[in-house]
Amino acid sequence: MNLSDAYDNWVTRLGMWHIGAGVTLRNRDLLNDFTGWSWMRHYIFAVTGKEITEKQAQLLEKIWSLCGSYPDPRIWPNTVASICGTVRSTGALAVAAATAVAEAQRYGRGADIQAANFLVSIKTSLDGGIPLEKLVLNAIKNRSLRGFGRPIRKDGDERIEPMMTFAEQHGFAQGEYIRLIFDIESVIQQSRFRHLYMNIAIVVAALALDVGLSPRDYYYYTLLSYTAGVLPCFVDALEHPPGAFLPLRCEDINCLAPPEISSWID
Amino acid sequence: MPIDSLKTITTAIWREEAHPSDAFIAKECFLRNVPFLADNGILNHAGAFEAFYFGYTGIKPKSWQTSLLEKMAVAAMTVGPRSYPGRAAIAAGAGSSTIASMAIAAVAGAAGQLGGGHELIRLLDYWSKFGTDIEAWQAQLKEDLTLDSSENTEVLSVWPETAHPPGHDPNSGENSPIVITVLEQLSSISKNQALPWLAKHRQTLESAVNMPITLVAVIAAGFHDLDFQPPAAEFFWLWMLLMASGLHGIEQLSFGAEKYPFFPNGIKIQR
Repeated sequence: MNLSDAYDNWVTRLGMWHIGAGVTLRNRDLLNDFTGWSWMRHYIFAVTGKEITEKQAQLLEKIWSLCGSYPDPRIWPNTVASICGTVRSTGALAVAAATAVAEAQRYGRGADIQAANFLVSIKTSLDGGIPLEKLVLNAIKNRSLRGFGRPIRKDGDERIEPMMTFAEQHGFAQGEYIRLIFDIESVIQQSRFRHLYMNIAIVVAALALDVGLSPRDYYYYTLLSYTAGVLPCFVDALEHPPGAFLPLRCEDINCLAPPEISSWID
Repeated sequence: MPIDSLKTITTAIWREEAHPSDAFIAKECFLRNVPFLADNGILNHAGAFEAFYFGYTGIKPKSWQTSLLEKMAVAAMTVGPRSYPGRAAIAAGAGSSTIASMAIAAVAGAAGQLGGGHELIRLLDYWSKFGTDIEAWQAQLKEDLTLDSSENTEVLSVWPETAHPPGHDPNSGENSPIVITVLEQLSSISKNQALPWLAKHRQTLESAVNMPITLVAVIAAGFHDLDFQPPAAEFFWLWMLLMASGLHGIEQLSFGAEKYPFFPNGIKIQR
């Protein structure tokens, strides 16, 4: 890239604000062409350029409600928001910090994008003629299996049933990725790894892939998915006295270092 | 100036000389007209705290000023992993979040009004208003104690209301030996008025509101003695707490979720 070519020159398909006159979004008129669009539909279109249906937008919204918005301050991103509340920081800082923290490897955005990526790669190999059983057992063996097993609860994921009930009621239960994850689960259940129960990350990834999102689109879609759990935790902590959020005593520090006290001066 | 002609950064503190063959590469840069690369420049001669001090304030610090700023950063480390910025950082570390998110979480938790950046700002405002007028300080702190934030619409802002007098601990009647020692040490370094005055009048201030002072009260006096403007002081305090918290977050990366406090019985639902 020759930076001189980019100097004062940002060429984009995304759009712009025509100051005081209107807004272009992906070659449409934001102020007039999106009447009747839900925010989720607008969001997906703005971020990915993909136009989903209102019904699909409802599904994506329901995923956020049911699967990402637990109002428990012990969940790490929520903890950060509760901390912001208890120290009387701001709501935006709470949401920003919690959103950033939710981009973790073990859960949240890291787990999400890996789950979606895993399904796409399994499907590609399956389409290439490799049997599912071999693919799944290989994935377990080389630790690339995603979306099965759960760090906190080992005995299943309580979100799957209500999510799949919604999906069935609204015609999303027979997509090819949804069918694939239940096939993967059957393989796992017939193996000696049957303790690896399906978790919600793989269900949600499958639903989103069936809607037509790519793994990268899916990551963008999930970025704000915890917000309805995060911000209430901030507000709840504000309604408690400052510094009252699960304070720890000195003796709650369990120091593993040997007790001999050293000196800074050698 | 019309909005469509603005495409330059306006600054009085930074200058660059472009490389003759690439307009996007600097061959030298200047902070407040002092070069970085020249033999007599910043890179050769300034320590980090001296360079930052100079950059943020325009003052080339005397040795006591650099020492005081450095000691304030060391004092920040005493907050430890139980502090809320520390716990925000370890929440990121234990859950395998990105390192940058750990920093963002620590700063968000350090920004508030319980030892954090916004409380520091309030104290610096009091320092500029009251200086070493003990009666004015006492009156203000007492007023803060009785402030009913729910009725105070004048100060409604993005910052939540807080009813405790800044720089004082609403949750303990006990002085922190760490805070007292830090105050004594810092006031022995300062060649200005605020820290020694605070060391002398601490108990009078405390008795006005029946609450012990906290570390941020000491730090505010320190920044006042160092002639930091409030935004620069706030930024530094966030950075100090960030660095003090990060070491605990980084350590938790290796312990993971299993060693992180979860309070299995700590949440009680109120109906």
